[in-house]
Amino acid sequence: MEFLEELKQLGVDVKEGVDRVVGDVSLYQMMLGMFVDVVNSNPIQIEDFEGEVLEELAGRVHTLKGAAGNLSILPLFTRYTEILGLLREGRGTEAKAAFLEAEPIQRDIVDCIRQYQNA
Amino acid sequence: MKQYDESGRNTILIVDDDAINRAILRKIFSGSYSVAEAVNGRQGLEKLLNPKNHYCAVLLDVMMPEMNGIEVVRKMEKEGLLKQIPVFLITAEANDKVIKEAYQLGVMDVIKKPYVSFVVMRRVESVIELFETRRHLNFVVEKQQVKLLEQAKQIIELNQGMIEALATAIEFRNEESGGHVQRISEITRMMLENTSIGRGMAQEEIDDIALASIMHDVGKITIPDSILTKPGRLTPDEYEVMKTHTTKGVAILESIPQLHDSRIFDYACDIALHHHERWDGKGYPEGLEGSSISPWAQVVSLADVYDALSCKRVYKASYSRDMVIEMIGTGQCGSFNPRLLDSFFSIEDQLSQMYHSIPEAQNF
Repeated sequence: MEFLEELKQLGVDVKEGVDRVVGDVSLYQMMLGMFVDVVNSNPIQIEDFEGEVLEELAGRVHTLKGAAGNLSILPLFTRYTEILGLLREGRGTEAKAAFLEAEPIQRDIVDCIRQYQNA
Repeated sequence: MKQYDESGRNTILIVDDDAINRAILRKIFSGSYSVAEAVNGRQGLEKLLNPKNHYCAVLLDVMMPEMNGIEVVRKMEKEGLLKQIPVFLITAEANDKVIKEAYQLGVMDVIKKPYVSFVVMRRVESVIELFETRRHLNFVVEKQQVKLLEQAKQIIELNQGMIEALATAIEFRNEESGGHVQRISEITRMMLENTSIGRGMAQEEIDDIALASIMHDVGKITIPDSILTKPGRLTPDEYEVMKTHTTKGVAILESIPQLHDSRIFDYACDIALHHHERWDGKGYPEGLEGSSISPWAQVVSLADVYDALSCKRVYKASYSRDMVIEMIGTGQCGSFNPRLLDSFFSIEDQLSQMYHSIPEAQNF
């Protein structure tokens, strides 16, 4: 399956993402590569939700949410929006539960991007 | 690329720590503008404060390391930059409080992420065009203002020249050199600027009074030559005619409609009418007494006496400086306000300088 088609299957709104970069498909693909870098430089572990101070974690979630939103990776954008809201309300347990849902989705999307980057 | 405006602004500054967001905005605007980037608020502010940089717009993220977007906006407001450069907050996080503060500080627009590219482009471009038009209009208005001020200055100089020419023509008829009116004007100015008599007066008011004083003797144009240039003492009848130069002076000034709108009109009429009034009420034409005589009429009155005594006239020789001081101090030429006399004597040494090199004051 073609790269962008596969992303569509994973819930990414490719059309909206490409439109955001004024129809430049290759730039969009390059930015998807940048998204992987953002994920790597803002790693989130389950244990992170168990601490008392969640401010630093919220900063990382904010970065991931922004990058996902800009590229119309909607499944992650909506989940990170929810996680960020919960963290800001101090609801760490619920945030952790939401992250457990987000993690496999993120893994699939990142794997997909990596696969085509390496191809 | 867009045309440069007068200030050469054609660069958009993107301040965002998110590389993806910077790349998207760069893609959106790089077809029409130059794009500069900063990765946090502090770096963005440094670029904005560098006088070498001229930006046509700033696209500013809110949540950034080192200095956030709102802090940047506050600093820009403090430096007066928000009036020159439109700022757009581009954010996913801003709450109502932040948005309200941003608008209150002067941010042009708040654009929520994720955004639609062509909407961002239109919103930013529209404001840039608005600012360019405003800058252009300001530029045109400033140029016109400079031109108008130059024209106004020329008109004022022309008016002043005409007034001086008229007054000097009257003096020549009086067989005087023409320097009298200039000296009266100068003495009046020095008295008002340097003594307590002028305390509380604005410089503009002093300038107006000094100019108005030039016309104090304009009524003499109506006095027959036989009286005006008589080389001796006037008879009582002749003196009565001579005294009418005060009331006729006002009539002449009032007959010039263009003068009515001038700031100096009221001063000129008052001075022409009352510059022979005396503090004890023994002057003419109305016999005003004490402070019912305006300060400017009092000053011109004393200046007129000082100059008349110091210079040769058709009916008398010039007096020595000591004699002039004594005659004024002892009231031989009529009484003056004691405070005015104190002010006068405090700067008489300065005033006397203008008589050292004029032939009419050979005995001074």
